Amino acid sequence: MTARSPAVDALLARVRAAVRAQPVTVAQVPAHTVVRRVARDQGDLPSLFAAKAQSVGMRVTRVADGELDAALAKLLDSRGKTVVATRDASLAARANAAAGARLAPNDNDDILFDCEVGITDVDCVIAESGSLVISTNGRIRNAWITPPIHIAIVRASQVLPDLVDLFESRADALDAASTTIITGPSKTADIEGVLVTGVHGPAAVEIVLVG
Amino acid sequence: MNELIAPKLPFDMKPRAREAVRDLKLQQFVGNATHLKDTQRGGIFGRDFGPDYDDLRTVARDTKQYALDHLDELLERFIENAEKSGAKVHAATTGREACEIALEIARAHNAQGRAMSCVKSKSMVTEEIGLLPAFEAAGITTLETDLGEFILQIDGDAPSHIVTPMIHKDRVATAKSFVRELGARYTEDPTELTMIAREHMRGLYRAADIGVSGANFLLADEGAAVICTNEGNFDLSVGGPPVHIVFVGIEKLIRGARDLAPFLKLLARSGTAQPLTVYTSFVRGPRRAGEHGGPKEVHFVLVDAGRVGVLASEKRDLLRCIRCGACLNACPVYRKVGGHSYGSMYAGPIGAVLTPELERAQGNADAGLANYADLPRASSLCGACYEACPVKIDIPKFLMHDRARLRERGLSPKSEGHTLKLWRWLAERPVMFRLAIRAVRLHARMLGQREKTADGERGWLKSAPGPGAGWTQSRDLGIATGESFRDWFANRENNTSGGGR
Repeated sequence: MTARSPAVDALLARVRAAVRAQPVTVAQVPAHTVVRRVARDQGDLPSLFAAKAQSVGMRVTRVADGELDAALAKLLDSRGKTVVATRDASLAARANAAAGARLAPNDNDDILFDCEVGITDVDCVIAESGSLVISTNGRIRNAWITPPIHIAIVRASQVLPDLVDLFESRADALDAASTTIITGPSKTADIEGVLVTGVHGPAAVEIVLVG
Repeated sequence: MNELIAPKLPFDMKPRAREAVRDLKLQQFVGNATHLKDTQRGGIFGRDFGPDYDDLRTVARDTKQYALDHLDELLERFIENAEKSGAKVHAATTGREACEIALEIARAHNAQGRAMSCVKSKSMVTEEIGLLPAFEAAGITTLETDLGEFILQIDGDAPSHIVTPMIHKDRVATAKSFVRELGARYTEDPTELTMIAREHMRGLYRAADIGVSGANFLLADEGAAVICTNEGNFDLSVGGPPVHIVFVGIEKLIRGARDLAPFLKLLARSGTAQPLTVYTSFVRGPRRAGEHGGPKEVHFVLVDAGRVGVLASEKRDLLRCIRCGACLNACPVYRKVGGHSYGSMYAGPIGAVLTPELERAQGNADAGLANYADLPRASSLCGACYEACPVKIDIPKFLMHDRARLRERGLSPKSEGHTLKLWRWLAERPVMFRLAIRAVRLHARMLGQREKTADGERGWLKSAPGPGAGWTQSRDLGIATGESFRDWFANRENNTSGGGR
């Protein structure tokens, strides 16, 4: 372990003194019950997730497991070079097959800028906000950011009710070098408040919801 | 540093405000955009939280206050956990020190002394410490990757809003800059302009040596930083370069992911009326063995730059701010004068209290307020900022506190004292008070204009006499028409004889 710099210790000492210069007004973090919007036992979470994901500008195709390959083939139809970044090996095989000749070699870090499509699976998704949660654990980083189209394969069993559940019960999803919660296609409204998608990240996010 | 956000001190707000109020285009952009965002904010909280909204704010307030009250413990835990994940933690007392740390990191990666480049995502603290000019001076070409910040950068302009930095600029100005600076063809279409910027930047991401960002939150339990963007520029700038540096004010610490949900649910709703920003990204150290992509080194530069002093002061509450920008959108003064009138990267109500306080805490104990004496007065004390604040910072209370301090030090204008004395004299003498009010009403009616409206009568003064002249420089003064409250109250028996109101 590297030695801590004296500047860090000095900062700690000054913060310690500053904290004591005023009385503690909150001795305990309050309960967060009001934060939850979707109950743990709420029915049909996959449908809620699909509706919310669509409301933030992502497209959702819901298929049975047997229809996944056909759905992927259809989404990839006439698309360009494709990168597959899935942790689930069986999904990787199916996505690779669907990409076929368009599949980019994924043995170097620099291919992403040349790809038109990134196919990933997810760690989990959140029904409340329609968000995807994707970590770098076992996936090529930014396969979901750099190509202009992102296809996310989500299993119905991966839907969490609320953002609160990600932090309360899926700590593993945050135990990666990096994790991103994605809620829509890349957006900006910097020029006169006009909404434009696809500024740096993908302009289109296609979710294939299986089951 | 840019003079717009780092002006010569003492700072005089009035010429800038005067100019802004006369700029009709600015009035239109800023007025419309802030009004729209403020309305949408109300809408999304109503829809998603309804009557629970206030409780959510209370939870966020207390959660962040707890973090500040225990910041030493959290900081220690953060440092330990970040180092465990392989990140390097630095501390900077001043902005200059923070820049020096970054330059040192850059030098360590550049034994050959070649030209280096940096991709940077939007960060208020890097504006504060002047990172961009420091990098440029050291020959590190730096690209602002947030679209708004990029346009400001190529124009030599400065942000005027915490969340929507180029709120004061329009598509025509952008189109001209793109032709001039990028050699692009002229187009005013926002989509086309955005795509021109996208194409310009993609190659630069690939080639960059260093990625730089700020952070919205620091998680002590995880030793991680949380960065929220809508464009995805952060993820691109952390994904490619071998080194990533996170600059972050120490007040961004919370206990950990277990306390994060209330803030994420409040931040984007308050700022842009979105349920969450499009990307909420966690940085938990450098790439791990076997991983594809990501920085090989992650550095956290913990910035004080006055924050420790604010923590020790009676204004500790100000450090709860999560930089959502809601108070700017809600503020009637910000809407009129725009962000550059505040002479700081922190504009609007929060800037009016935070800017002098950070200045004071950085050693200019007496000069803090004296250098920004206009800021505490740049408010109508209407309380809209407090109502809009997701962490319930009582900004009007602190503005009043600063006004009192200005007065104690003889820094208030003389006219303010005279006016208050006159008011007090009248208020203690009911007969005189009544006569004075009558006289004012009579005068206003004689000088003013009137028109009939559907529900009675409307009156206004185009230019008020004497000390009121300042008020009517840029707007009309409304005049009370019809019966006075006093008369109505005295006659209420007669008025309501039919059954009462």
